[in-house]
Amino acid sequence: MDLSVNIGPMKLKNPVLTASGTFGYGEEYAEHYDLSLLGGVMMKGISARPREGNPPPRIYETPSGMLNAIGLQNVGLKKFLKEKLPFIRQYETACIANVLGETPAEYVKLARALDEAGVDGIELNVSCPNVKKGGVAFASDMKGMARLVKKVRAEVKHAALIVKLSPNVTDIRVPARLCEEEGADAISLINTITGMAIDAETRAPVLANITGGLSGPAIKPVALRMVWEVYHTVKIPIIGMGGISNGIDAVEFMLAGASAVAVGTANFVTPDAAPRVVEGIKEYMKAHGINNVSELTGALRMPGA
Amino acid sequence: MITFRREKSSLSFKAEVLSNTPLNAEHLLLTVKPIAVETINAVAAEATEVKGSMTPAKATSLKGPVAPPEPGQFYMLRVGPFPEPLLKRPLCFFRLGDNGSIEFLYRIRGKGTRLLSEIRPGAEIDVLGPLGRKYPRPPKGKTPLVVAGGTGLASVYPLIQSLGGRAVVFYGSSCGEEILFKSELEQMSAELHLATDDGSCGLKGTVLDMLRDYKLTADHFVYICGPEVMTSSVAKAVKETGAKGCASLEAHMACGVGACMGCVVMTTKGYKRVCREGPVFKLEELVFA
Ligand SMILES: Cc1cc2nc3c(=O)[nH]c(=O)nc-3n(C[C@H](O)[C@H](O)[C@H](O)COP(=O)(O)OP(=O)(O)OC[C@H]3O[C@@H](n4cnc5c(N)ncnc54)[C@H](O)[C@@H]3O)c2cc1C
Ligand SMILES: Cc1cc2nc3c(=O)[nH]c(=O)nc-3n(C[C@H](O)[C@H](O)[C@H](O)COP(=O)(O)O)c2cc1C
Ligand code: FES
Repeated sequence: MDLSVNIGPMKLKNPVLTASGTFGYGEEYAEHYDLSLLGGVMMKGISARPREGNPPPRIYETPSGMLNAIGLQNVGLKKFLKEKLPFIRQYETACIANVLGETPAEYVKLARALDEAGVDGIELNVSCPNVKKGGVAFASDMKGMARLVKKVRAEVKHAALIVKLSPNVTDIRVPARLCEEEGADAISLINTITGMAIDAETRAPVLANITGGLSGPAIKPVALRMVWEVYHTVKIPIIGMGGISNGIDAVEFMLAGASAVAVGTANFVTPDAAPRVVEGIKEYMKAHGINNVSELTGALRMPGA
Repeated sequence: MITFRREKSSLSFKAEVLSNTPLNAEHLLLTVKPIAVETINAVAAEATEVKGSMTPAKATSLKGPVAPPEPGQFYMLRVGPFPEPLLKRPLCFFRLGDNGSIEFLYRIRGKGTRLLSEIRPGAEIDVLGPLGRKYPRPPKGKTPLVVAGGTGLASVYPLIQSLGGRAVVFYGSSCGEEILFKSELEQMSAELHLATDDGSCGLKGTVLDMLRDYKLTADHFVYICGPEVMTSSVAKAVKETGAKGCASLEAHMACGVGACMGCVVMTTKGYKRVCREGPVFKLEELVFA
């Protein structure tokens, strides 16, 4: 059984990654299982300098999902290179850095440093709903996003350049096409969907940040639809995510067009959710006589076809 | 039965509910027995020192027995079928029961704890833990003084137990009905001071009122667990006397293991995770609004 997939220049031993921000830098979950079981780890978003993040409360549970407004609390580039990257390098798994700059120049600086440090993939977070600069600004400014991808592309020589798209747009195909045109190696989607929770008793918003990003099983149908739309728009590989909790969920994303998948909120539900997804994919392949996992990508049977 | 072991132990396990007994209108005592350690880990597969009956799960391997809990630590419990409610709920380690069982003392607060209260003996639940930092031992020469408010008792109860009769305990609640484990506390404590809002048990007033009348000095080492308002007011009063101590805090949690950054509180060194750097924090670290 061949589980390996290629995302641009990046080789993954299996198509299962952990989604950025839901897995820290891997240290905590390494206490629960061997990270070498994973295709790769998408690290918590890093910025040029350490970030404090938003005041609490930062999370709130919703029906089959959760809202978060962490605000990218992270250790910053320096500490990432010194401590976090060597840690993950102990494992036989791909390391994908997720970057968030406040300005295009900062994205470029981060991407260059990470590429030189030898990460396997660089995921540009142009879609974080919880930070004012960088994140949402790019999600809605298509031209700005395209210019950013172009600039970063010129700097990234070794790693796979992945752009993470926001679902908070009218037509996901527009940014997807722009990313492909500007030379991105892959697209990852979806980031969280902007949402809000209100406490009727106190008449106040629940999150200190007022709005937050919705994730978990609740967003899976939206994510599947977007992966499917993007698959029919671009040729570069897609890393699908949004509510994936088991092997069958992952298979559905691959049928919709994803070449690889990422497990996010499900890590919080079951610490070893991601390796269980790997096992689940294998079981499905066995049951359906599939030898090569990439056969699943885009293998959706359309009615009447 | 699963034996408790420190090394190579697993934090994920299935447990059988032995009992889930109401103590009063809002509180229940839950007793669970770990039955199967369940985690995917090919590497640690050799580490199985489990006695008696085990039900190994499909496609998983055993990673060694359950880790022993320490006073102040907590567990995350799955209170309903996936995906509703989605997240596990944090509950403090209350005490060990017979045959390697673990007990929890909890109050019905919302949807999740209500579902938990409906779980019947014989059911299996997913548990993660023990997690977080334990209470430190009192420094040499200091008298341990424990302040508990309401359900906060759950967290300090095993601490009082571990202090072997040395603890001076202040425990307050809304009414006599809500004062739990009174006779056990009387036996375990050097002194037990009780207060209720309505005066139906002990002093009429709050733990803070009792503490004001007590000769709290820098020779005490204080442990606090209770509602946020109580914790912050007691912490302030303690700091004024020059005494040192710690408090166990609460926060909304998602992962419980330190990965999501969702459960932070402000400290003198910036935001810290309640599930990882806490739930027990030094009083001098805490910044109250
Ligand atoms: C480390 C720790 C130890 C705890 N130990 C105990 C204990 O021993 N006994 C006990 O009765 N209670 C304890 N609590 C509080 C308990 O976790 C909450 O009462 C419970 O999660 C509420 O869930 P719910 O679904 O009933 O309420 P809801 O309000 O419906 O919960 C919705 C969401 O908010 C979270 N949440 C709500 N209130 C709290 C809170 N105060 N703290 C943390 N998460 C919250 C829930 O986990 C859930 O994600 C502890 C909390 C923490 C953080
Ligand atoms: C607590 C939390 C923190 C997150 N932080 C980041 C982040 O730093 N960078 C990023 O690109 N996405 C971040 N995300 C989004 C996830 O990577 C993922 O795109 C999204 O949660 C959808 O997947 P899921 O439903 O499986 O969680 C975060 C999500 C959560 C729940
Ligand atoms: S609950 Fe996720 S970091 Fe504490």
